[in-house]
Amino acid sequence: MSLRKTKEFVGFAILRLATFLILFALFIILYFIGVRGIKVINWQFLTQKPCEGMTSGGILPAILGTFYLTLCAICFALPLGVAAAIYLTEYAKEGRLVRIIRIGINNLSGIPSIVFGLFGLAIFVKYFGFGVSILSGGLTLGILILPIIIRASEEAILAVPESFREASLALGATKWQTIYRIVLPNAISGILTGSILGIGRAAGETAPILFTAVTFYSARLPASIFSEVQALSYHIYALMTEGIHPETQIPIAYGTALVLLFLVLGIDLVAIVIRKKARKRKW
Amino acid sequence: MVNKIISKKEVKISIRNLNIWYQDMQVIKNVNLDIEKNKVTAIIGPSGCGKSTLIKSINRMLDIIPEAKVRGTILLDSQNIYEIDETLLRKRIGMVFQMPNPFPKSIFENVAYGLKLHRVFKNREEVYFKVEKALKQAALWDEIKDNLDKFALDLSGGQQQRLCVARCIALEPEVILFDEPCSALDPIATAKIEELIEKLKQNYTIVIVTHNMQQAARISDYTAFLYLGELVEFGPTQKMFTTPQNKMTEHYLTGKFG
Repeated sequence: MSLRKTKEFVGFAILRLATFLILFALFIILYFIGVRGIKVINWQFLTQKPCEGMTSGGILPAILGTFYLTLCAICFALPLGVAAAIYLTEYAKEGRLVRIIRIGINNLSGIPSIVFGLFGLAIFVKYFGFGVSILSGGLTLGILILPIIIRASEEAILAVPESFREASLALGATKWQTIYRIVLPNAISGILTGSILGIGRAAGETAPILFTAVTFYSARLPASIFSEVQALSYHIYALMTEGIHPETQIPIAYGTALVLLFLVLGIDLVAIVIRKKARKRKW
Repeated sequence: MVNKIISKKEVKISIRNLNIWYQDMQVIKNVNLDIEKNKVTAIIGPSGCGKSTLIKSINRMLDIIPEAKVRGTILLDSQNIYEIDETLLRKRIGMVFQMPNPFPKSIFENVAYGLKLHRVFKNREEVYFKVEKALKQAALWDEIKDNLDKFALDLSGGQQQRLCVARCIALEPEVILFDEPCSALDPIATAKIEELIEKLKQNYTIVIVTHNMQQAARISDYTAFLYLGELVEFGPTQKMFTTPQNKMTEHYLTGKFG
């Protein structure tokens, strides 16, 4: 074997090894959580409230809580993010202001999530007086995922070929007509795919909802968006740090983790399905 | 040299002292040109001479390019195009692009698009009627009449380009601008487009940019030769191709450069 071929072989071997290591890590996590969590998962675990000081029963309030929080985050962040992305890509003239906005958005995604939690506490819980509630937590999560949604939407909008816009404008369409008749219908699958990935992120976050939405235990299921809720991520944290019966509570924590994992993977799966469907009819 | 060629009554579009810059680069230099009604005017010249820029200034498509600066006057039926709302101007002056660019919609929706933008119909029947008429005029109807719901991007390149023509004439414009409409097409599809342009000139004023001199000779009534942003020569096609007045035109037409 020549030296060049040897170098190539070694190079590819390293790349392959790196890929397998990553897969291996993912597999280990799934396996580790899976074997520990599967023991406690049954129908009651998914459909009942916790009981006996959270040493038995199910995690239904936490599942619902995470669902409501995520839903609230989407309702807030999706329209806002898409609107901002349309403005930035279609209307705003490249200049200092847009550069500053972009830098701002990029930095928003670099802020530690606990800082969002503090911000949410100060603004939504205290200043707006929403209290510790689904609304406060959902809005905080929404801000957290805004950069993801904006960037995904911008990419999807920019991926719509310029020739479609030209054709529309040349027929006498206004810019706005062009955007909602041509650009958005063709960008929507990309926007949704990117946004759903952001939503998966929101579902798994703990820190932003720590001070803004969650409670250790609630006897009732949430009644309105002003109720405080249990959430899967915080439930794990609470069981592991504040539980006084570790022998029964740690397995419940693993079960909860497995449910959360499947929830997030499920959300990502939806994104993949949407992307697959949209791919069939591309320009 | 302006305006001795076409009598004033017949002028559809009149370009006066047109200068266009992209940032600091001047791409159109003091162009004066008259375009006669219901005739085909070809703009020829080597790549990068400003043909496309010139044609895009007529329906104000340069407006969407922030770096482009346009100075001078363009009159449509003696009215300054900058006094006409650009959406209405573009309804009156349609455009067919170099690459066929139908929307990723059905054939029907493509042709109906402009009608819906401008709401130029009373009811659904009228939309159907106008779509059918446009497709017939664009010589596409016989091939796709049973298949109006077909996805437009599944058509062949030549069919797509004729669909773009149909989409354009559905709005019944006065002028149609063709920006190298055949450069992405094979010879058979090209022949069909040329045949179509020949027919369309009865009803429309046509301006066509082409880098294909034979094409200009075949289909146009007037030819304008553009070189490095300047209008070198303009006149009836027949005359220009047999006895060009300018040495440069002669060199270009005989293939000495270009």
